[in-house]
Amino acid sequence: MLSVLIAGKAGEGIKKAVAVIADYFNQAGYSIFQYDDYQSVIKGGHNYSIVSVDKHPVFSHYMLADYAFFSDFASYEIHQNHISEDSVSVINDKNYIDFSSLLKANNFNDSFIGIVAISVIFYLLDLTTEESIDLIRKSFRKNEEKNIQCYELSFKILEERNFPRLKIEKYPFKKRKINNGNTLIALGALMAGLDYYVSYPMTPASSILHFLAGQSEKFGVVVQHAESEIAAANMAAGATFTGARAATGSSGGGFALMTEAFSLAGMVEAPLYVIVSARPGPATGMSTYTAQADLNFVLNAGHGEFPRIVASPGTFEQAFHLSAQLLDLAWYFQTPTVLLTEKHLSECSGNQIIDPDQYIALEMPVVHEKEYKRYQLTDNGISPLKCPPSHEMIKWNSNEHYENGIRTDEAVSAKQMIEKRYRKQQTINEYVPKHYEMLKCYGEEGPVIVCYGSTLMSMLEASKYITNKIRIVQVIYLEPFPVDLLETYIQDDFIVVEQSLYEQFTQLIKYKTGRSAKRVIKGYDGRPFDPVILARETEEAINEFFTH
Amino acid sequence: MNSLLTDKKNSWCPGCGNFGILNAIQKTIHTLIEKGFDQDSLVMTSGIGCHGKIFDYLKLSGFYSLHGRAMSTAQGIKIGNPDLTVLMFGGDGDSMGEGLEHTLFAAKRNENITMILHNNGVYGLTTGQFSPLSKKGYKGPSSPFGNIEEPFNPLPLIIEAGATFVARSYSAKIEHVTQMLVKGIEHKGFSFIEILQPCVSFNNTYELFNERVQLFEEDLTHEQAILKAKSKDPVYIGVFRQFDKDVFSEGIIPDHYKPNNPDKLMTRKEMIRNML
Repeated sequence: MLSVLIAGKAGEGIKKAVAVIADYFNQAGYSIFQYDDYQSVIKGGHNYSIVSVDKHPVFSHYMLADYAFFSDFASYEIHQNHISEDSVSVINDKNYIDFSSLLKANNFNDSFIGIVAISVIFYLLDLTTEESIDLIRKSFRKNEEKNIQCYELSFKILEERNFPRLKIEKYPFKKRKINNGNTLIALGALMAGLDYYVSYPMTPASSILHFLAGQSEKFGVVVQHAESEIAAANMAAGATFTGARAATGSSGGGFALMTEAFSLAGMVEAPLYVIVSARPGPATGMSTYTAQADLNFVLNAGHGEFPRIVASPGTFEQAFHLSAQLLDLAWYFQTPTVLLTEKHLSECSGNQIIDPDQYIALEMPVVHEKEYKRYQLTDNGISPLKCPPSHEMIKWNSNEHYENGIRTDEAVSAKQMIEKRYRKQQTINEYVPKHYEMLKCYGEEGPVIVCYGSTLMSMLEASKYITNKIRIVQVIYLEPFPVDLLETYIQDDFIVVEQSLYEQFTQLIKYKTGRSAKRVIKGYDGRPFDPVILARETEEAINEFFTH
Repeated sequence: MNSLLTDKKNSWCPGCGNFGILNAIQKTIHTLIEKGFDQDSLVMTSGIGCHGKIFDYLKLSGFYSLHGRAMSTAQGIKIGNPDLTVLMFGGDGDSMGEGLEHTLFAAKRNENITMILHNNGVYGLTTGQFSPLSKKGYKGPSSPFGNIEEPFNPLPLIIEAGATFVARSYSAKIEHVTQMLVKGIEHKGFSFIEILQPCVSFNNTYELFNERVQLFEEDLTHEQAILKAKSKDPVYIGVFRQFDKDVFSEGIIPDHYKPNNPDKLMTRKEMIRNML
């Protein structure tokens, strides 16, 4: 296990620098995990990125670095507890190494500090000049010659100062790419046939919009930045009327604006797929940090009663597969689905192996042509889906309606339609467990730790430091909730780990199964769990409750 | 001629201006069919309010949307299948109030949709509250001592926002409404047709409009159109603006766009494999 930390100000290219370093480790056969901590500022402020690498799968970054570069002394001061005893740190400062003056003297502006950071780390990791230049060339499209000059300058000064160099071991290269969670969520949706993504920017969901916008031509997908989340959700719902697989996405605040359209999708039975990437709230909260405090909101969003499906990925691999599943399920059941994730998974990057062949498209029900009725009353609650242009009338109606889609307020017809949608919910409850993994257990025996979403990654990494044997139980589908499956694991005492002070997930488990956790380990400061600290807290809880 | 009406019992007040619009839209569709237009490709959206009931009366496919959101629904439909002809019906409370943003943005994008604004200057279905287009001093249940806000005029706003076909008509002049609708639907780009529509229960403007409405036929510049649209006496009806500009869906839809077509999945899988 090895971690590299680069810290400094916004606008210095810190995130990118760490991505280039991560790419080196990726090619050297390592499993990597990159975490970017940044504030809602464009220039200045304090930003840092960490990449933790190992030859075994790594599921989290570590807040204790082996190599560090600080773009100023203030950054060093912030992170002095984040460097291990035998780490090598390089500080850009008049009293240490004055890269800034060196850059200035050679006509480089401050934006090259990221290249200095890369050069420093590559020097310390004893890369050959060819390897270094090749990676820098590959990673930056602009300023090719200047970047290389900047690398050479930085390299020289470290050599003069006799900084130690240590080669890392290399492992047989397995072809894999580094992607962040949002990219994988987007790719999963594309895999299941996404035609149209429309949203309004809101961190940490924005990079789905940005990534897809860049892929528009390549994949033949329409990507639109709408005037608001309200517009985006209604546009997406409108597009589904024509058969286009549409999706929208935002964070909690934006999803709050979408709830009216979310309820609409429940009523008109629109296959609306929504991605919600949570950050700490309420209100604007902390834009660039992580939280699991929108669980209740997502599970209950939208007025009225209607079927919905909600699931939350715990790994990069699941982000891809769940996104495809939820888009498919929206169409199979003609009802809104939500992928609930958090900033921590959305914006962290990893190189997990993901196999697209594992995706198997759901076979959609066939529509019988005779006398089409949009909301035909059926046993399973699923009515036939037909799209215009059509000689037969297809009416989607936000008012309560007859089978033909025309509005009604009549008690008997309304009751029939409400019950039809309820039967659909029951069909969902039976169907999802048969087709998809709703819960996953990691570990053979020992005390049970229950979690969901990106907290799983922290817990998987933490488990490496827990001496007891434990079982980590991840709830993947939150609605429908895998009650029976979970109950088999929580017959005895169990611990919950989540990022909500109000213990939303713990309360959900209690509501669904009647069982209360012995201990809830909580984070709610916007920061993901550090695996070492989480391991300690988990172990303490285990020793308190489970040693007989 | 096949009927364009469903068997839904009509519940508009006797004498409601909406009847004129319902008649005109049927004539419009028949005219378009005679011109070779494909009726199956015609879809409608509507908001919520008295105007929205037209959704239940017209035998057309479509999406009865939320209050104020029908223009967003309509734009989504147009992206989903740009070959469809999309008619969006809105009320003044609905798409000039809660949905104003969506209306302006559709005009800004010049999306190829026809918007029919049922302007009765009042919230009819919710018992007569003032709308964004109600006159100052209007007394309703939410403004018992008279509305203290000035109304705004939708046409100059829509012209400035970028609509490429802007017209006004009067629901009592069914032939004129029909003409405007046919022109608007045939126009490629965002067509905005304001239809002055008396509300017999809460804002009966028949006398006022019968007296003041004046037809014009000359072409207008941008500036002339705005001036003419602002005139309160006479109230002009006709085409204020019509010109060509790129439409949104054509600009944003990439080549290889194959909505509702699973054939693309195999190619996509290979592209995605290379990205994982």
